[in-house]
Order: sequence, then C-alpha cells, then structure tokens
Amino acid sequence: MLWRDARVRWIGGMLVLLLMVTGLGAWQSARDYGAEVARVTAAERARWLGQDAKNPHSADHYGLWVFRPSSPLAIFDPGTEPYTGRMVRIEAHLFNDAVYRAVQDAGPFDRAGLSDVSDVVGLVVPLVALLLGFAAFAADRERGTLRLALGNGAPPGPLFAARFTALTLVLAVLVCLPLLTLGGVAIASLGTAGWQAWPRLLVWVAVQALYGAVFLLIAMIASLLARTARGALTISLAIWIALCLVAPRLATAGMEMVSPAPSYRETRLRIDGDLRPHKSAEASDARAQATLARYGVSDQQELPVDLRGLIMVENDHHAFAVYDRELGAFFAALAARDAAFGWAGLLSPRVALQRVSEGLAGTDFVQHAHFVWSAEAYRRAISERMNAEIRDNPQRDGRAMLAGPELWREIPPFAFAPLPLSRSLAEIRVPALLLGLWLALLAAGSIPLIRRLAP
Amino acid sequence: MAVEPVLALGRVVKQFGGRTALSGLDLTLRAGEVYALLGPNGAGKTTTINLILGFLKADAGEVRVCRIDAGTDPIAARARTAYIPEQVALYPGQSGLENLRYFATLAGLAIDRAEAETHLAAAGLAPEAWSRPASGYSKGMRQKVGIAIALARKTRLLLLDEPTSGLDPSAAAAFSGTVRAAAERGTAVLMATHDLYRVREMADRVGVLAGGRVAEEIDPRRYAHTDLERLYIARLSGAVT
Repeated sequence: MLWRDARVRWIGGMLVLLLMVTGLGAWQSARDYGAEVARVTAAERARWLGQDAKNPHSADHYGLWVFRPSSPLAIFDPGTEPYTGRMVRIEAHLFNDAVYRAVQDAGPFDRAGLSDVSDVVGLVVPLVALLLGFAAFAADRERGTLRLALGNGAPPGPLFAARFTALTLVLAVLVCLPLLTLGGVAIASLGTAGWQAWPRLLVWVAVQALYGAVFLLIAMIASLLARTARGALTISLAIWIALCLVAPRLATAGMEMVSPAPSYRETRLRIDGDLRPHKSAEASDARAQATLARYGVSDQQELPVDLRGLIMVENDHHAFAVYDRELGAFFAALAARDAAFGWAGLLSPRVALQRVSEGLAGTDFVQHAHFVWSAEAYRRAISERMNAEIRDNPQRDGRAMLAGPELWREIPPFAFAPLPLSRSLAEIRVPALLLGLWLALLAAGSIPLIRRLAP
Repeated sequence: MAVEPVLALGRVVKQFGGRTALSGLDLTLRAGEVYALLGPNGAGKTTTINLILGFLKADAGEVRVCRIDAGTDPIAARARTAYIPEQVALYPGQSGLENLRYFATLAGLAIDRAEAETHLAAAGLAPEAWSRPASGYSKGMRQKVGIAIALARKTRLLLLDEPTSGLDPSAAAAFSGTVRAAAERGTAVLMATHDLYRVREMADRVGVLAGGRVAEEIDPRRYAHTDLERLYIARLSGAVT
C-alpha cells in the first residue's frame, strides 16, 4: 500500500539517487586515490631499492614516502581523513606530520555541504524519515479514518507497531539497499586488506538504519500529538532543525569551551626545546668522551664499535623518548577529546551517529593516530637498522662506511595494519549506546501517547 | 436470572471547561435492543458515544461495555463495539471493497473478498461501486461502506452517530432493515439521531437527552410520527424551562 503512495515513490527515488550519486563519486575518487597510492608506493620502493652505494645514514636521510591506505568505507564517511593527511615522509631524526589533506583538492561540490554519503545519511535520511512518518496518524485524524478505525476496534498499540514496522521497512529498503550496493562495489574494487570490510559494512549500514528509525519514531510521535498533518510536519521539521543542525554546532562549541584542543605549535616548540641542547657540539663531545670512558679507551680508533654510529643510536633514542612523551601526550589529549565528544550524543542522535559512523568506517582520529605511530615505528626501525650498520662496522682512518642494495632490501615495504573492528567497537561504545538510548527513550515515551490515542 | 446489560452508563458526568455536557446520565442497553438517543445539537449525544468508545473519560460515573470499564480499558471496550460515525471517512485511493478489508484487518479480522462482498451487499452498496475508488463516493455510499465495516465486526454493541444523515430515502429504509436485522441477531444498538421518522421505525426505546441526562424514555411504537415529534419538542421545552 505504501508503494502506491506517490509521495513515497518520489521521496524514495530522490534519496536513492542522492545516495548513489554521492557514493559513486566518492568511490571513483577512492579508486583514483588507491591507484595513485599503488603507483607512487611502487615508485618509492623502486627508488629506495635503486639507491647507489652510500653511507647508511645518508640512506636514512634519503627517506621515502609512506601512505595511509583508506578503508573501503571511507567512500561513505571520510571522517578525519580529509583534514589529517594521508602520507608521511619517513626520514632520519624527524617525526614528520602527515600531509596531503584531501580538503586542499576539494571542489565546489564538496563545499556545497553534502559532499559525502554520511552527510546525506546524517541530514537527508532524517528528513525522509520525517516526511514518511509525520502523516502516520495526523492525516488519519484529519481525514476522519482514525475515528472509524479506532471506533471499530483497531487496537492503537498494534496499529502503531504495524505502521512503524511498515515505514521502517520502506526506509530500510531506501537506505540500506543503496548503501549495501555501494559498499559491496567498494569492497570488491578497492583494497580491503586488514579492514574486516564486510563486518564493518554490515554494522555501519545497520547503524544508519537505526538512526533513520529514531527520526521515524520522532515523526510518528509528532503525528500522535498533532491534530493535523500540517501540525505534525511543523513539529517534525522543528525537531529536525534542533537535532540535525543546531545540536551538532552546540556540541562542537561546548567541547571547545569545556576541553580546548591542545596547541600543536606549542607541542612542537617543546620538542625542539628538548632536542636542541642534546644536539649541540658541546653535548655531542661530552657524550663521545663518556663513551670512550665507558669502554676504557682514549681514542675512538680503539673502540670495538663505530663511535659515530653509537652516538647516533643514543641521539635517536633520546629523540624517540621526547616524541613519545610530547606527541604521545598530544595525540592522547585529542583522542580523549574525541571520546568525550561521544557523550555529546546525548544532545542529538546526529552527534552520536557522527562518532559511530567514522569509527566503523575506519576514518576516525584513533585510526589516524594509529597510522601516524605505525609510520613512526617504521621510521624508527629504518633508523635503528641504519645506525646499527654504522655502529657495528667501525671504519678506521677517516674512511666512510658504504652500504648497498643488500642493506636496502633488508628494509621491508611499509605495511599498515588497521586497528581491528573490535577496537573500533570499543572506541564507539558510548555514542553507539546513546544512539540506542535515543531509540529506547523515544519508544518508551510513545507508549502513553499510543494508549491515549484518540481521533 | 437478569440478563447482563451490554451497555451500562451510570451517573455519568462530563464537563468541558465550565460547560456541563452530561450531568448524571443513566442508560442501560440489553442484547437485541435498539435505543435511540434524541436531542438537539449540543445535547451531549456525541459526547455520550465518545465516552462509550473511550475517546473521552468521564469526570464522574461509569461507562461499561459488556462489563468492561470503558474509562480504564477503552481498547477492550472498543474490541466489543462497532461504530459508524456521522461522517464516514474512507481512504480515497482505495475502493470500497479494499477499505472494508483494510479496516477489518486493522481490527484484527481477516475477511476474504467473498465475505467482504456479502457485507457490502447487505449494507446496500451497489455492486458496480465495490471496486471503484472511494474518492468518487457520495456521502451515502461512504455511509454504506461504514455500515459494512460495522457488520463485518459482528460485535455485541453497535454505535450509530446520525446514521441516516446523508442517506437517500430508499437507502435509509434499507438501513433501518439492516439495523433491525442486527438487533434480531442479538446486537444491542445505540443510535444518536435527529431523525424521528427512522427512530419510530427502528428503535425499541427512545431517550430524550436534555440538560445533560435522559429527561424521558419513550416507547416510540405508542406514538404516531407527528405525536412523537410534538412530544419530543415538548420535552425539550420542558427541560429548558
């Protein structure tokens, strides 16, 4: 019966079209990015392996680029990816920032405000749910059919449940089918290594359906309360504005007031302040003298190891400790803000959905931080290996140590292992529970209204 | 042993703001009985029906349908009641047949097409209209689908709010027959109406509603139409003065 309603066909058709156009556009970009990453990664590997014979420390400075492989579900929700960068330059001594932020390449469509599928789901799906549900009882009340139905024994509870189920099914078909189709295409055509893509897709789509059901319930409650369909629509739209437009801004502003973001510039200044004294000529001389004393020799030629290599190992270990302390604290503070933002889901289901969506899509800040530290671990492994090669092959009489392809081949390609789905689920447990709580509270709130349903 | 009444209203009071609609209404209706509630506009006829259906809650007194308190358990009370409102509203995009089956489904009844056609025929809707969209129905045709819905429910109590309003004379006569047939099957019928002519034809008892209560009960068969009308006007005047 619902499919015979032209309103449902038009609204549904437009939603499916919007989801498909947005999703296919994102899929095309992801495919291009994946191909580009594969090409540049192969070129970088060839460049690394094709180095001339040189001192291992020069090779460490020669460096290479590593890339963050995108989750296939990034076509739905790019999350923090456009803002955090997806490639890092690996080189001696430096914990570099991730660069290549997609927003730098954003076109006019991206700036229009509905640039990705998660935006469409976050804003348009609630609107569709409200348009489907606002008339559920109010139109019957206005037309007079509710009086005839209730007066002839239609029980309000089952009537409400049947209509909610029917509308939920319609909404689920309109939302889930395009999303599952797009997700399937993305998984089949994009790199999925380590992403547990199918379980992520199924949970992600289920959450979007749950989100739609929350707004459907809101519309049906408005329909129970309002005397006319127009009144129900007005109430529904006011709630949509409050929950989908106002609340997210309030949540963001509130978070900035309660827990301002730590300053990255100040963090970097502290790191420089810690590293600079350690790298001075005086400090290096002091460490060289201490090393000679530790080995009980007076000349570095008498050392069983290469002094320069040994000092570089010590310097790097000091830098690693500084990075761990300062950037570790910086990333931990941002992650804590993200976790706290999950509680802002109390303000609006859209805020809860945003955190849940990017977590399941594998594009949240936690995955970004994991990538940054994975790249840093790779950088440290290269530095450690190069330093060890120098340290363990002492050169006499001012000769410089040279290494060749055998050493370069010892360094494996960068392999990023994303955080598993179980970790993502743990990260999003608060906003996910809040989303469920919204549905549960609305369902509970509707019960007395259903019992009192009258024409 | 006394037969349990199908409908019992005892000392029912209902006020809207400062206005008293019902002020101690007593009314009892047994199986197979047709009771007509007569009264001018605003006398409280529709309020009485809304109280029986549980759409309104009485400020005092009790309303029982088959011993069920309609105030505290309106859903159970309505499950035993069929109801034809003054303005029968149907889903305009559906045919009369589809409307009948849909409303029956909402009430938890599954009726097949043949059964639905039987009820539509009994209600007097012409067969050529059964499959036409209800958007093209006249008020009388919609009323007949409402009657078919009520008949399909086979309940112990039938409530009619101005049932013959909008029906042409032949349809109204047929409707009278349908109501009497339902009563003969044991259905208790309460109808709120102005139609004195049909009241005399259908009702076993007539209650004149005035001042928020039944001012007088009349046996309509004891009076000719004109006498009944004169009596009704006199009772209303008496209630007012």
